[in-house]
Amino acid sequence: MKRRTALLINQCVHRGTYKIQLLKFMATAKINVSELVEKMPPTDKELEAMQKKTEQPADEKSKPQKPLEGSKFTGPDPELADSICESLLSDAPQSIEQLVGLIRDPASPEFKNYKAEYLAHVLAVYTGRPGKQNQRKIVAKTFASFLGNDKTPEYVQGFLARQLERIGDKDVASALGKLLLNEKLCDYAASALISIREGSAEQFQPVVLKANGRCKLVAIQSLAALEDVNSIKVFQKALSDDDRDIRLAGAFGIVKTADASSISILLKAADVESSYERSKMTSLCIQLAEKLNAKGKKQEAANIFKHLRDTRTDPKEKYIRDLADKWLASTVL
Amino acid sequence: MLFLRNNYLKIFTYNSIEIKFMKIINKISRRSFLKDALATGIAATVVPRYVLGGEGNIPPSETLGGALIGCGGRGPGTFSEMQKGLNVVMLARCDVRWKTTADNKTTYTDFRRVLERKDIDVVAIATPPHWHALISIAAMEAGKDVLCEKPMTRFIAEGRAVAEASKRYGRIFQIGTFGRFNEAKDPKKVLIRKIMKSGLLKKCDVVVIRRGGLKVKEWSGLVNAKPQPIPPNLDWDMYVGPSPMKPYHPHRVGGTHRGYWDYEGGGLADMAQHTLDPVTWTYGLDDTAPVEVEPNAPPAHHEVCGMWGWVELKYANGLTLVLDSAEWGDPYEKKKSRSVSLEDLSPEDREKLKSMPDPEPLLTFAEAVKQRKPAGGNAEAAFRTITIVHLANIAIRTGRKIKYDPVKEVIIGDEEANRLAYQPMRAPWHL
Repeated sequence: MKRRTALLINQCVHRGTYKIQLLKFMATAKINVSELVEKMPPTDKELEAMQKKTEQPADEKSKPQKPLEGSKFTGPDPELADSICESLLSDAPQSIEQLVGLIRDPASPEFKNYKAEYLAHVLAVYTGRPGKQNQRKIVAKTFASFLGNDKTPEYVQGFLARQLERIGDKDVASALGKLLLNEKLCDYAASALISIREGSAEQFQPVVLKANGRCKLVAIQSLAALEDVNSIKVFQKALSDDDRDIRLAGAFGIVKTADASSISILLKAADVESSYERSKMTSLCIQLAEKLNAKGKKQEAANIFKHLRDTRTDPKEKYIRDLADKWLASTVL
Repeated sequence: MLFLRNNYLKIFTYNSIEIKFMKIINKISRRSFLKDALATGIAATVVPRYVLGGEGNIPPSETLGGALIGCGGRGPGTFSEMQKGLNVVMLARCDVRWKTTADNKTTYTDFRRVLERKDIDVVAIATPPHWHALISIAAMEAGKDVLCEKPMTRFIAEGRAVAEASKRYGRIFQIGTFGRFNEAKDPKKVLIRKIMKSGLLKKCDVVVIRRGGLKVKEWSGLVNAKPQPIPPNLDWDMYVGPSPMKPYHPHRVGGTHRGYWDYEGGGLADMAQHTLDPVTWTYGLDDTAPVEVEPNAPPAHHEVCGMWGWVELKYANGLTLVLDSAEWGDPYEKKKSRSVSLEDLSPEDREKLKSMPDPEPLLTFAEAVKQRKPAGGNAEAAFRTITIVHLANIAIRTGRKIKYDPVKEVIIGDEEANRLAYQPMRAPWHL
């Protein structure tokens, strides 16, 4: 308890002083984004050093230091963070552009600290609140304007795509789509587009035709996650691809779109020799049967279960036969 | 026939079939455990359980082939937990740090190759949590039973997928925390559960406060970390798996991974499944989730788990659950702890309660495997407990009160928060 009280006092002293300084700054100064970024809380190590300096009585200064505690990242006071965000938004989009311009790749020699990147994230989360749609759109649109641009480092584009995964909407889908042929960035962009959903499938459809390797896999799997019925042919074709992951992504797409016309080729693809792929494909067949059953397509579901019952003959696949038998016995066709 | 050698190899005859199996009797160190288990596992003939299968029940003497996926930290402890009450021979170990040494016979870096083995029946999973759901699901799809280290998952959708897989395939899932088993043996806790589940409580003003022990500082990530070269023995792509690809830094692996949203979720994710597992059983919360969650925390970092104060979670029945870190800001003082007792029921209702049966005893992992019935810490129960943790972390990460629908399992009226409950995965991984 004593330790906790001491901790709280320390926090209050440091945070209180810092808060007053920052509020004074904000009341008097015109928005200067660089200065605002540097007003973000000190890093954990800096904070520890400050605390040690103020806590230590003069006669103990010569005593050996205790090892530093682990990292403990602490953001600014929530009210203060809100006022910082409002300040930035009052001068948007220029202030947001300046803020993004200050973000550096930690691998770069120019990297100073986390603060600009963190403030950009705080701003994104702030505008993610219900009721802040207009401000959110401004932030998302400004972030998106940096995507697919050679002048913006890939690290920064990746960071921005991850923020758009949280706050993006259909208006930024085409900007994210520009990253889908970049092996380093396509995953970030795909995650954002899957979260956005609306307007996203159109970004992936042309990529499937152009892309190879990882970008192709990401595109097919993303179309599957988006349940894109316009991509059923893509999924069907993927089932016979040389790459196991693409075959599985194709099967995933057939399940997500609950496409009954693909049953026979899916079952054929699932009849591979015993392997991880076989159990995964079998699982996807079962999930397709469950989906079709839920849609009232009992006969199609039954066909899948009958096939699995008749083909999963290995003693180790008994649980699959049991599952199929149970379903077939309990379902009136 | 009974034959003993080196205290741990026995040969029995069961139903005219000779069965050889290993039983580790001595208390063992982690190193000797791994060495002996593998050496013996290779030597012993493991008769797969389907040979004796019967109607799903396995004889108590049968040997099961076991695998451990994720061998650092809690790995050996999780595997030992899986052996309790079962004769499990370790046949395979898998860890992404063995890129240069794995032989793909007994040691692996890719869990998929382990799961392809027909002689493996049970799998202990002790990887970082961003892998828990996918490996659990893949293992159950391959017909294996699973004991998975806590926390069960990294985000809400994963837990539902694990619970569905367990149900679909009739496979056993037990989470690696066992607090509820003690509660189920405590008459006072049993009474609380009976009251909570009876439907007789007119008004529920229970307040459960769990203060401290959540290791918030301990499992906080590093800001300003500069990328470093990937060690040659580490399969970094496989380590990152379904999470967003990031440059390697040693703080992201080896226990300190807990301080990153991409792999776990700080001390709260790491410790709260332990803290809450007894609470969800005692207060009958295994089939529901909070409806309102309010945080007291500074704005969170996008990658690094940091400091927070407390989170208040309210259930539809009126119960309030509070997680107070006691490591940041003012302590939670809005409400005082309050349990429930017979005094909260009318005399008539107390009589009705007496006539109600006690809760079913909880099955251990071993009992569940043998009886083919859900374990005490089954996937659905574990999912409901970890949902509390994820909701608390989402509230911390968004810095605002959120509302949750426990039936539809979505955050209501807050799209940004809901996206944290349903996160896309990096290909080729997906739920």
